[in-house]
Amino acid sequence: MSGSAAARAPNRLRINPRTLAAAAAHIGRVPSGVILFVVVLVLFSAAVPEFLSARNVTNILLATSPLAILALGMALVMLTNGIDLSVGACISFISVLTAAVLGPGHPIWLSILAAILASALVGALNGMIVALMGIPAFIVTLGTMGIATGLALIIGNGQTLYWEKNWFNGVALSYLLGVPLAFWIVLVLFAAVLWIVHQSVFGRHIYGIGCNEEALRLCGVRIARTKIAVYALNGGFVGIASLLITSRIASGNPNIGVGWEFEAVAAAAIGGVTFMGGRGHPAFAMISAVTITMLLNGLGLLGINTSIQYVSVGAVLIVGMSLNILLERMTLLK
Amino acid sequence: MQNIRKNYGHVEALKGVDLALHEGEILGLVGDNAAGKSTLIKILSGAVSPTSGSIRLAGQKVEINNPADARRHRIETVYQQFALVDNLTIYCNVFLGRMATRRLLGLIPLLDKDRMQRDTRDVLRRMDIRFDSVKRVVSDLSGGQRQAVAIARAISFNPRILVLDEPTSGLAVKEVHKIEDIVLNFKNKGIAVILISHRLESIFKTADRIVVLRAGGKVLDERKDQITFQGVVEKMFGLESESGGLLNKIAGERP
Repeated sequence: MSGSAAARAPNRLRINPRTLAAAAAHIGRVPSGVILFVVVLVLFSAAVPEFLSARNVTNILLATSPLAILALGMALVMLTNGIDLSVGACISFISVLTAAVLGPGHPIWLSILAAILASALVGALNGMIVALMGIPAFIVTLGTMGIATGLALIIGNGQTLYWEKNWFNGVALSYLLGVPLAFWIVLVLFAAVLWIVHQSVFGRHIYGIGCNEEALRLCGVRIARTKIAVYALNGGFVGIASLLITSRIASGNPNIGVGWEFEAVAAAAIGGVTFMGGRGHPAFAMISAVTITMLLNGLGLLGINTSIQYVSVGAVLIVGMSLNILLERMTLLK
Repeated sequence: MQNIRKNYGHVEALKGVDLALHEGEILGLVGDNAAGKSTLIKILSGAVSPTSGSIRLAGQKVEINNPADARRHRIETVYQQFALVDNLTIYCNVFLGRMATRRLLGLIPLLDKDRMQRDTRDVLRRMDIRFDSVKRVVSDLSGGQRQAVAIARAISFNPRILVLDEPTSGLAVKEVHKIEDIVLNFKNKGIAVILISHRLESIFKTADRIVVLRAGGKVLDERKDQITFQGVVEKMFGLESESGGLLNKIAGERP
């Protein structure tokens, strides 16, 4: 090697720290939900041969639909610096309510309407107390959780309710163009949420409330109305998710909603929606919902029992949140 | 504003303050902490209701019970801390509370981003402020740029009275000068400005008249050329009661 070539060689290996910091900052903008999605997908694809089979992918889409819907609603609520812990209890309540309406032979459309309206009403009630009374959402929705749990037990007298089989039983298991109907519903709701977030005044106010509520108030934005609308919308989404679950189990079960609020909050948080509000995107919450479902599905295929599956979701929540903090620090490197 | 009083329980925040403001005038409102400046401008901007007193605009008595009432009367306020939403873009902040929409196929309402961006650029151009893009998120801006956006929003409402609460607080010297130039520019546009600032240099550079509040009462209301920097400080802290003014004494004792 000539002397001049030897002198140039170390330069070729040198990495500009600014370039490295810029790259880190760029990676830091990706929510942990996307990284975990890729990691879980790659790991289970390698570990379980049938994980990416058409049949299993369809199963994942079917299983993820209620959680994806809940994650979309929860993300909107969390963007306003709120939370809804009554989601699981409301699923139970709406499940029993739907069965109670279908049982005596009332029209199916009436039961669907009653389910969505009742759930939206519970959401609106949460929003009203949070916005007008100024009580923290955590406390309010904890109270509503108790009320909805009680109502689910009262309506069904603590029993699982059934109805005479009709087309509603098949909704959750129907397919359109090879894709579960339930997932088509998710896509329609996702499109609606995208419109809210990117194209509506309502969406801008949701982000604004989470960041600087007082600034919006001083600009004449009706904060209470916006918050009530967000909680009511989330309630409506909970109603739709509950209908899908109820259709799938073909009964009204007063305990079917247990634990859903945890998974919904986990999906939104892993997706990068902060508990402080104003930051994150519902799309990533939805991707995280799919990640959680893939994790449960993959562990199931590996023969790992249900208890360990719950542990894994908790662990993913902690890893996802830690990763989000790390990624946020990386964005500051630029 | 006539005989404005405001009590918070037993505490008298304002003790019957009169404040007049003329078209195209820049009024410097100064005072120590708890002098009543913020309470007075909050009453004018509808954020706080007075215990008693009245407000007249062009001779007509007006009721200002909330920020919307103030905006209807073309009174805009730029608050020190609550001005902007950090996670929104410049143009969304300028249009906060009145975002423009259009309808897709006559049905679906969509944000009219093009119009808001165009109008924001227009307002900024009129204020002689340049940004590389109005689509930048406010959290990425410097303190001076943020303040300029907050003022641009107020200006976009075409106000006749503009209240600026500590607009230069925490800014670098260069940015302070820029904000002062913006404020001076309003004079030519016929906008009356109430400028609240702890930075007396800014007040003396921009204001036509200076009002000093102390302990909820008005203790000075003079044209700038009728009062000295030292005189204002004495009024602010009650040092004028000493014969000849304490500051004068101190100045006189200096070797």
